[in-house]
Amino acid sequence: MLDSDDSLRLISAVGYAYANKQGLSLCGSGSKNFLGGKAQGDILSLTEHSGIIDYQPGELVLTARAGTRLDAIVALLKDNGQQLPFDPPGYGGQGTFGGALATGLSGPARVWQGSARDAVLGMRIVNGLGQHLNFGGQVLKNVAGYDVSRLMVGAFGTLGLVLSASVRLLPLPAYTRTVRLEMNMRQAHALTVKLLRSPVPLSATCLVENSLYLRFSGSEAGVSTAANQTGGETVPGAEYFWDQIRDHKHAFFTGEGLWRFSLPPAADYPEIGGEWLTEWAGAQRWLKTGASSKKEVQMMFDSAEALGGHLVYYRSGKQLSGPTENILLHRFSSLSPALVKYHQNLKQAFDPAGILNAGHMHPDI
Amino acid sequence: MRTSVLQYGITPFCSPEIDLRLKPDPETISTELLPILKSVLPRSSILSRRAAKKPYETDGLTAIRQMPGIVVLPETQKQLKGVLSACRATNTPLVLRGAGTGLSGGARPLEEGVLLVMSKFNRILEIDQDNCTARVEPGVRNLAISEACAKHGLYYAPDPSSQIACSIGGNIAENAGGVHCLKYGLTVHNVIGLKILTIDGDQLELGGKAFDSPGFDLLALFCGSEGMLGVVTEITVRLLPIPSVKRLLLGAFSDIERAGDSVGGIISAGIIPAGLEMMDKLAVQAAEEFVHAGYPLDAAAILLCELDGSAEDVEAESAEVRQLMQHHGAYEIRESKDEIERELMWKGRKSAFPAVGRIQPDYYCMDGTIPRSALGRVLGVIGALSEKYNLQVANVFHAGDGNLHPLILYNASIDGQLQAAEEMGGKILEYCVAVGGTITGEHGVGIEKLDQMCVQFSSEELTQFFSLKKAFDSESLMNPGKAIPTLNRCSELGGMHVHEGVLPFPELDRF
Repeated sequence: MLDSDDSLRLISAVGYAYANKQGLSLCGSGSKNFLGGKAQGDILSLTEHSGIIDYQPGELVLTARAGTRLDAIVALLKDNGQQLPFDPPGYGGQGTFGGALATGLSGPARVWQGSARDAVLGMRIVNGLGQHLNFGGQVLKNVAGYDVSRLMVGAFGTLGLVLSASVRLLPLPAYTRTVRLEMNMRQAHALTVKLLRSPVPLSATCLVENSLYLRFSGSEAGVSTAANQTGGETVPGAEYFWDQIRDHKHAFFTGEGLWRFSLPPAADYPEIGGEWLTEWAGAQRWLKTGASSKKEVQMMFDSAEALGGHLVYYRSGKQLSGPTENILLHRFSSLSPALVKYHQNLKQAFDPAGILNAGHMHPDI
Repeated sequence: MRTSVLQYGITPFCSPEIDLRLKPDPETISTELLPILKSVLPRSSILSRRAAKKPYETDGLTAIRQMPGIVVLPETQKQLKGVLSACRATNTPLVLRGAGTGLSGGARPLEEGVLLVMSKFNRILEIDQDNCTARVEPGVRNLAISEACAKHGLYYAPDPSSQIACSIGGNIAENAGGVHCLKYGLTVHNVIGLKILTIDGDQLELGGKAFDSPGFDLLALFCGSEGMLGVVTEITVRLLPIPSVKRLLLGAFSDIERAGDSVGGIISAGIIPAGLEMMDKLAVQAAEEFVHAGYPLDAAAILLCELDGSAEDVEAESAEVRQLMQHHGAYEIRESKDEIERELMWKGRKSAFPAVGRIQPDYYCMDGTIPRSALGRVLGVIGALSEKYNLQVANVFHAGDGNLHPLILYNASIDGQLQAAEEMGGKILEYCVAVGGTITGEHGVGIEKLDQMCVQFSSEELTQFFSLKKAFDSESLMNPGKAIPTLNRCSELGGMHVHEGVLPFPELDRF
């Protein structure tokens, strides 16, 4: 694996951009570029800043540079019987460690193993003044100062450039089994709501085309008992299936426009025409739909909010153009005016010149 | 890695120098603030007489006392909003207080300020068993949440030792942990929604019942923010299914370092116990005498390892843990046979602090966190410091997550002992930072660890903290002087360290 420390160049690039009030568009492998709006400014690539800085399996902590490839980290951890708890998606099989943290996305086990920000223990960042700062550390519990490192997760690089981060790890389960049950959306919804509040060793759920996949992880005896109780047929080679779901390589993710509803797990399905793929025991639901008129799009955002959640526009089936793009102020559910005010205040606190990924997450940030 | 290059100066925390930018005249409270407060609060919610204010002069860090200027206990959102706007209008600083169990002096009042007590916001608003959430007000006791949802087979996981008394609002302020956070996480991992009222009167809704929300992760930022950024008015917590089986294993060791090694052994074997706690001989003896938990009095250290999950998982893991403990030299291993015995075995651990308090009139509780691999070295240093300062130390650890609670025993009525305890505590925390750890794992900085913050952070990092605070509280009215030390304070202390070759605080004059 490429092991190179590019931090001096990155720090001075941000310092130079600050001094000259020039925008920077921070970029990893680009696997999730489509998620945000186009950032204003010159591209600053983090891919040369890569490599694992520290990994002692006994500590269950890994520290790596932002440009390190996710697949390299995952492979190393697997050799040591460990995993990244948040199992981050790498769309197109690509993706860097820094990109995973900047977007804050988590994979199929999120409900049971925690999110990307849950796993973060510390970070080295460069703020918009070009200052190299270190927050948090490599220990599980740390309340010295504000939790700046977790604030960086999902901030799309608008508050700081992530140089490196330490994350908590989990052992791989001793045994895993995935079962498939044939049932409709209503039945599957009722079952996953029930399983969420039951003490069963569940680690992922996925409903697609009237097939409900349940993954159980733990001791062989415990998993067998739970899987036998729910019934259904065992899916051979299921690891591949979950990877396909996580990385959006599954057949469902091709074709029409894709939207992500993040909802309370027991919430009803929004009444919108299209196909659904449901993960996280109901908390993450993907909608594939051709709906794209201004009215339809507004209805989707409204229904997500009415159900107590929010919506993210992932991609259109065709090239990103046409009516949908123009309708959307941005890709995410809007923030209340009060929240926008404090987002802007925070942006001012970390990046007073507004040079880092401006407009990437939100038009005003 | 930072290196302390100068002898680190210690200021006794019994006479803390508050970094107050605003120092309003205490008179302002009676002439300007009180009339406004009387217009927004019922008389019973305002405490201005000395005797009524007396119980609020300290929190769980009892060495620090300060009579508050005025104490208010609002009961409704409208009253709360009125209090904040009164403080804003008169530029009066305010300090928030939950149940007052905090151990770092975060709720230490100000003579010229308002102490805003949230204890009347004590309703559980909703238990949503389908979404596995509870919506509660900040004054609700931690344990009350688990009690209220037990009938649905659910519970709230973070369980600080003070859970019988501490409030969930205070838990958020400190990002409280507990004995089960190794497996189930801290407060930040178990809170999914917050409603906030800022000092400017803005209402913010962060998160909810979904697992994420758009924008910055302000929820994570508010956890552990020590009442510096806003007032939490409502909380949505995640509830977990009560595990089918819980079993507690107790291993007795004749060597404390080997007990420490077995912690690493268990984690390395791929087991994440629900709790993994260690107590040394003095702590064991004190706890045993206090609650009669049946602890082995001859052990140099005991390890408490809780396993939970399905019956099959617990069976498999306890066999493995038993073997690992034996391998690392445990001479006796016990298992809880039922819930009564399990709770009794925990009771000893959870009462360790008050139990130790019976040996000496006073103790000073530290909260450093270290990488697990450094446990043996840190224990050695604590032992050496104990001899040097001639003060006994009882060690209680959240061993699984490297969080140490050395309790330094002293007698405040003996001249110099308090100061020696503080100095020794400071040395322990500095050593924690030196091995790659932190000065506080779960108790917070408050007013107690301001000086050690200068060791852990550079001037640029501290400045970033200040600008972050300003984003929410531009006039620095909320809990001023806590959690983050000013650059002046750090410079005056001489607590200077070289951070990557750069001389710290170059922007300040030195004398």
